Amino acid sequence: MYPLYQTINSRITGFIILAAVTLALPLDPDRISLNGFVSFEAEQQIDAIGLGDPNFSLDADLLDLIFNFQIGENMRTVCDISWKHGHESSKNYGALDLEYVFIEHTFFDEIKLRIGKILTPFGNFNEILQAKPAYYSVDVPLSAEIVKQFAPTSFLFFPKSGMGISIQGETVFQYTKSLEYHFFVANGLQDSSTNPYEMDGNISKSIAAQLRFSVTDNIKVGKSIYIDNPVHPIHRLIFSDGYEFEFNNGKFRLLSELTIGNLYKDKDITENSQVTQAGAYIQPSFSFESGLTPYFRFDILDPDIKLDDNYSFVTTLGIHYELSNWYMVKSEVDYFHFGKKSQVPQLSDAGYTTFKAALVLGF
Amino acid sequence: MRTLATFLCILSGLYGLSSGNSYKSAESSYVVIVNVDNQITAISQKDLALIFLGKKTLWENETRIVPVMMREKQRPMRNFVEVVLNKSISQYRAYWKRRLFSGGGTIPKTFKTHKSLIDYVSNKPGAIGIIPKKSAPEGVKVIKIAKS
Repeated sequence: MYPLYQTINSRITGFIILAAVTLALPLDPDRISLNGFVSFEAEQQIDAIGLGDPNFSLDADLLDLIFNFQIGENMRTVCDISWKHGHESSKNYGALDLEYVFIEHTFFDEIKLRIGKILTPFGNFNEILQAKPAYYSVDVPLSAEIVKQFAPTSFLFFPKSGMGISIQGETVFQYTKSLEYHFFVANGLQDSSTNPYEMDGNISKSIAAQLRFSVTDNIKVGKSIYIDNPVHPIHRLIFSDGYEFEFNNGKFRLLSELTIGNLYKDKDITENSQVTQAGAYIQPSFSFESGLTPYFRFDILDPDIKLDDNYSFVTTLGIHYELSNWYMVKSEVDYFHFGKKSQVPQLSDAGYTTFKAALVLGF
Repeated sequence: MRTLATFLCILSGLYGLSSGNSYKSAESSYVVIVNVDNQITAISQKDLALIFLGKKTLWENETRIVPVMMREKQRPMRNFVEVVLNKSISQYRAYWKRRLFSGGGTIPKTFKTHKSLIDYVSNKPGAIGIIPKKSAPEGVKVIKIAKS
């Protein structure tokens, strides 16, 4: 059997087992819900040289399905499955991924325990990384989801998800003031040689923690940290520190985030034993009654703050149009620029422009 | 120092922009209904907001709370979202999309007709529903909204 089919089959089998176990409970349609979305994306790099798509591409970008199973009064299972980029007829069927799956037990609304594959609680975008209906832009900021192509030596501030246990909750102490917390212990950064799932050596452990405070109904501030001792021949410790800010009065919205990541390497093996990288973005937007939201974003990533002119930044100008609650069109122009000593030599002190658009249908 | 002062000025300006939108009292174009087996007779506006924002999920007897409402396009529902939840309709939708896709819970069920909503609440012990006041519900309990 082809490896691709094996991969897909094993994942589908896993899901069917999960679904079957849950469905074995007395069937009550109120206890099961299915939501999701499908998105189609177009991209055209306007300049001759760049890292975008020089040929106009139209892609079935993403199909995302979220299943909520209410097992008991205070226990539920949530599962998010996505299928990405089914683009090449009869050859490549795209990737089927289990984004997250966990069991949640609610002791109180202030204390919820989750066990499973859980999205790392860090910053504003990671928990909605796939979810195009949940944000305005076609893609999330570069500084929130690092694309290796732009900075090959960069490291992940944090992995997208991990297998572990989390405690989270929210307390509201005035009508408009609330404090959310999320504390997550997981298996940390793994690679395929060290984590063939059932034979995980349990050496690497990571801790992620996030606090979000709603100062008023319109202002929210947040702080996240991620600490990991990855299983890696040289990397010994990752410590990332994030700050987020949001102002939203229903029309004008300002979203901003700063993340600083420190990678500590083995001193006996490498001279440059500590690398500090930083990423930040600021995104103002204005929502009209008609459902039209123009937005702007300035997004910068510096893969090593000790070195000069090695940054890359993206300026984005776009429009998000919500035709109805679950039907939206996005269109944006992105200008990517690279510093003189950037890690993309062909774009040293230069940039390129791309046009992107997406059609998103949710349910 | 100058940068910090500028930042603080911007922050206080944003705080000023937001402060006029904090707590409003409930209007009476809608009523709150629960299943007849539910013991409660009144609910605070704050608890009502927490329930419909997915932040309060259990009744005191640990039964799961199931919030339901009419479609938010209807004026009384719009009024409920703006006054009790203190959000615009687009903010409310964006809030729930974020919560849904991050695994934080499911969006309150919505109904097209008053009758179907009332039928649902009358058959679901943990349900709490919002309907226009003129609907004159039968088979369910109407509870009061307390401001505190």
